[in-house]
Amino acid sequence: MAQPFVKKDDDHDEEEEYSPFHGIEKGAVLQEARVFHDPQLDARKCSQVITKLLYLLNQGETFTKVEATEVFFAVTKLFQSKDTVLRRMVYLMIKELSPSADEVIIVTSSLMKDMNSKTDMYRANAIRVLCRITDSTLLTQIERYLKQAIVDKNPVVASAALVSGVHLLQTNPEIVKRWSNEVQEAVQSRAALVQFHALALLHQIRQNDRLAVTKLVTSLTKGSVRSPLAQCLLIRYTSQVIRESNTNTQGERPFFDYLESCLRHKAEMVVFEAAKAITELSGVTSRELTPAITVLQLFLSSSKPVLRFAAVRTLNKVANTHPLAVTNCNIDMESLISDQNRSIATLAITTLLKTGNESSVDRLMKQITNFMSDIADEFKIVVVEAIRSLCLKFPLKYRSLMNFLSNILREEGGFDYKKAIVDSIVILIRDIPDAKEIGLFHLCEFIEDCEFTYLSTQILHFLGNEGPKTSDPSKYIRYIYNRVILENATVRASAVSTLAKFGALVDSLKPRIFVLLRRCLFDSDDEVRDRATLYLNTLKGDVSVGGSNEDVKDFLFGPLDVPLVNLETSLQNYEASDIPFNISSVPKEVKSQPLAEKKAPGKKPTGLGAPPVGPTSTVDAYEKLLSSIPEFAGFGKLFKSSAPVELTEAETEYSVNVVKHIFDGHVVFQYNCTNTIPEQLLQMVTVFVDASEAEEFSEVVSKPLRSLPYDSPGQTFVAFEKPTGVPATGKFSNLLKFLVKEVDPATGEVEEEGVEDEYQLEDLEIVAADYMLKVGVSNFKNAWDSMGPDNERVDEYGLGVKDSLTETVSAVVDILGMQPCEGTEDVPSNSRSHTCLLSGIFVGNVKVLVRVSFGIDGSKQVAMKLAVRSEDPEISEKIHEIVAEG
Amino acid sequence: MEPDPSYCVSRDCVGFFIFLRSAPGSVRLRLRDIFPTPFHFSLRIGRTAPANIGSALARFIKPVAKSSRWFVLLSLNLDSCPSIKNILLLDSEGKRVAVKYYTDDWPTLSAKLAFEKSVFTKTLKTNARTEAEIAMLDGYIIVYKFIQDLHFFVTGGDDENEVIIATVLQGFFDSVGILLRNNVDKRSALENLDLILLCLDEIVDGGIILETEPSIIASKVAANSLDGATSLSEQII
Repeated sequence: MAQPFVKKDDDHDEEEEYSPFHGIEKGAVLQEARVFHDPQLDARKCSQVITKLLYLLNQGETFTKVEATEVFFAVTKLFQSKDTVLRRMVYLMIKELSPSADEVIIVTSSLMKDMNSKTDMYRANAIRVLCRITDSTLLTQIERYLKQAIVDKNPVVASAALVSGVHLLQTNPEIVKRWSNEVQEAVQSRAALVQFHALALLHQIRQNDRLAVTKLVTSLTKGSVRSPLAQCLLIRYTSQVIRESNTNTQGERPFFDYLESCLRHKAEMVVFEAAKAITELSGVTSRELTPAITVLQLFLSSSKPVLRFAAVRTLNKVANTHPLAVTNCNIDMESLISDQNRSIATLAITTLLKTGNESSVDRLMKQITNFMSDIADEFKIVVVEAIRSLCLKFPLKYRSLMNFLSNILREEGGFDYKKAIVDSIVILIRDIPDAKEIGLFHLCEFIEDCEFTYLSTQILHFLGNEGPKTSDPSKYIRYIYNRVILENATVRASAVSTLAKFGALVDSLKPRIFVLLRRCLFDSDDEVRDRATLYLNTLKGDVSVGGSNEDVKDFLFGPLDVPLVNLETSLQNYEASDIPFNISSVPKEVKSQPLAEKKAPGKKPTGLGAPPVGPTSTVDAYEKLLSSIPEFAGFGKLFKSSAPVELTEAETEYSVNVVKHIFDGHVVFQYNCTNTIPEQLLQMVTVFVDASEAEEFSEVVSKPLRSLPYDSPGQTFVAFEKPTGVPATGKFSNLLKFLVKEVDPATGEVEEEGVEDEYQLEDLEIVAADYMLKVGVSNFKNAWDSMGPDNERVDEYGLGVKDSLTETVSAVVDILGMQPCEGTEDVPSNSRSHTCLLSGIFVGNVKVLVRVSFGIDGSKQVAMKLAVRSEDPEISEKIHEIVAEG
Repeated sequence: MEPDPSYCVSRDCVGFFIFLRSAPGSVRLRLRDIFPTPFHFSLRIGRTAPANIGSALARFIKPVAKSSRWFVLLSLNLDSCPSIKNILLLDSEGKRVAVKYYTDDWPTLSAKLAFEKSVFTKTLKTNARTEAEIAMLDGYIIVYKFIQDLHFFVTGGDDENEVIIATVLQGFFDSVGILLRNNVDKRSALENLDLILLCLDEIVDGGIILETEPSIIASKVAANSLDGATSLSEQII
């Protein structure tokens, strides 16, 4: 507790004595309000009663309609008093009561009198009160006074009128728009805040007139805006203008000089606003970023927590897109790890994790370990997620990162935190083969002392899948059997399944597993006993499930080849009869899109000698999905599935993305559609594809989606034929066609009548990179040398003026769609030349290696030397063609 | 079909009231008409430039206009003017001394109390006595400072300039200090609650910052009131 000054009293009465409002009651105060009616007003007494009423309202007390009306009428009597303090309280009270229209009339004349009073304080406050409670008819009556007030020489009066104008603009825009001449004049005011309020109002009046806003910004950025708040506004308007004029990306950005000059302003809020605006510019270059980063870096070592927080939060966002730009701040950032304010410390950590390089990982982990013990779970989860993506980025560092995860796994923590750690370890095991054994070991240790049933069962299931494939599966048995002895029924049941998996997959362990399973036959829980019996009988071959050993395994552990949702609906529709339920009658089409973990592109230690496609779970899922559709069965083996490409903007009524599936002689577009309107049901959803700009493609099949209810994604497919083995490219325009039926969201009833409709989607392109699989090599030099110079093709290209090498490298990597090797996609800042190593597999299963060198000269002219080696000289030529076209 | 988006702007939200008539072959839009709306769609665009809203609206409206016959109400977030969500003054147990909410982010009393409770407990253990501290909570930025048994908080939106929120807090904090003659604690705040409430009224009006300079705020509140000691305690105690 941080209140050393207050003694904590258990005795409530004594404590309440501190309050002058002790024992206050609404009824009694309302009685007291009768003093408002006295012919001889006691101003002091009246304002005390108002304070009490306001206190009650502030504590959450409400007045009934009758009570509120009564109080309101009583309060209006107080306008007779000349006492200024009382008048101020009356204003406050009226605003709090928000009187109804017929009540407002009572006070209008009093307030209008005050508006024209000689006392500035009366005028300012009367304007604010009147504008708060007024309606449009009344507003036309007082408009004249308000216009005058805007240009009043007293800044308080002018500000009151301007701020009221901002509020009124939302209800009576026509009237307020007539004031723009006065507002324009007020923008030139000498009083700082008047200028701020005038600028805010003027911009809101004009904001749909693009030209006017540009003019406003142009004139004000040249002149002197006094108030820091007004400067902040101007910066926001300026970045709006910059955003809109973004069509010509060539050359200097308009108004950038102004933003940069604001970085030298004396008010911190302006400096920060400008720095933030610069970092948020679309397509900001590193040269533009540098001055902004420099001021943010200064803020990092400020004594004010607010500045440190603001700076680190902004840098954290920058690190997502421009990690190299932020690395200069890493030293300052590291000292923030021990910041008293945990929000700042967490942001610093996650920024460092985003910008760190391979060599700094170990040092960073040491610092984080000290830090983890004293932050809240929600912050820890953020850190764990950052560490996971770091590990995927630098797979070679898995040892120290995995150790870190297992250490924090052993410490105290809630379910969500532990789940985040376990999920991370599972993902690392899946993606980094070397990390498998050590990761499984950590998970085994964890379940020895795990209080969460959900996590234990998840880990046991995972162990059952991965454990038998390791070099020494027997060492896991002890951990698993301990669960059978020590845990609750749910965990025991899944431990039995896991044991059985080991028994089925590892023949040498079979006899020992049988012994253990037999012991489980005496378990106190039905499910555990049933499972043990099933596994024992089937694995021993007592009950025949199919012919071979494989069939047994498939029956017991094979994946369910129908989606669970479909199975559930089919079972619900099944009526008990003589005909047994047949699982093959369940539709196999997947309704929802398979979940794909987004991986940070990084080095993958898959050798080229290994099977060409390092099949990830996503590819598996797609393959399964496509093979379940008879029309596509004849297309052969799936070569590559692209990442989903969004064809609609986020949060539109129908959201559609497309996955491009490349086969040898065909291309299948999988459109994942989601209907986000609860009132609609879409039927017969198809995508009409116009391939007139893709001459080599001809449409063969279009598979419509029968029905697309609200918020449950569905897929429609269109397949194209293309010349076999040729990387044909082209552009396709898409039109979503469907039948709309209205749905009553309350009852779920669907209207009979539907309307045919269509919805324009964005265009889609098949590019050369779609025919290239990203497959890394562990040792590029060996692979390069073994490929030999026979099929090598070398050429040089002039790329013209580019902003930086970093952008050029990533552009070339994107065009080729190949996997950068050995971290060569990262360009050290300020370097003049760079060599990037790429590897991949081209359609037709041809290995391709590329060594591409860049050089940049003083005038930013970039030259590129591209050397390609592949198994087929024609393919090497092809790669050059791709680059030449791109 | 490019609608001309005329809209009315509130402190952090632009309300589009759009009247759509669905006739065969044509969709007519009339803006700025307010009708009871059977449908409510909200489309969050963030700080989009007004010109882009036109095309975003066109995309959004087209299918809706065809299918749902009459009205659409869209609310767009266009928070280009710095705005304050609320100002809280709580005691050392998290109870209200004075609070003022400027937006409908917390529509009910219980939502407000829940927010106050979570803000209070999350910040309780921090040391915000010398410099203002800052925290993020449920997507809001809260800048706060403590003195004696009083906790001052100012809340702003996720996207707001932190330094501006801090300036408002400092303005509130320091002007209360001046008004209570540096004797800032719960008891004296309650005894001079009228001054505190007037002070809140002078700092922010409906979410828009009115004044941040402590001496000016205090002088506006105290005009003619400091001399005639009208402290509430005199009468009650």
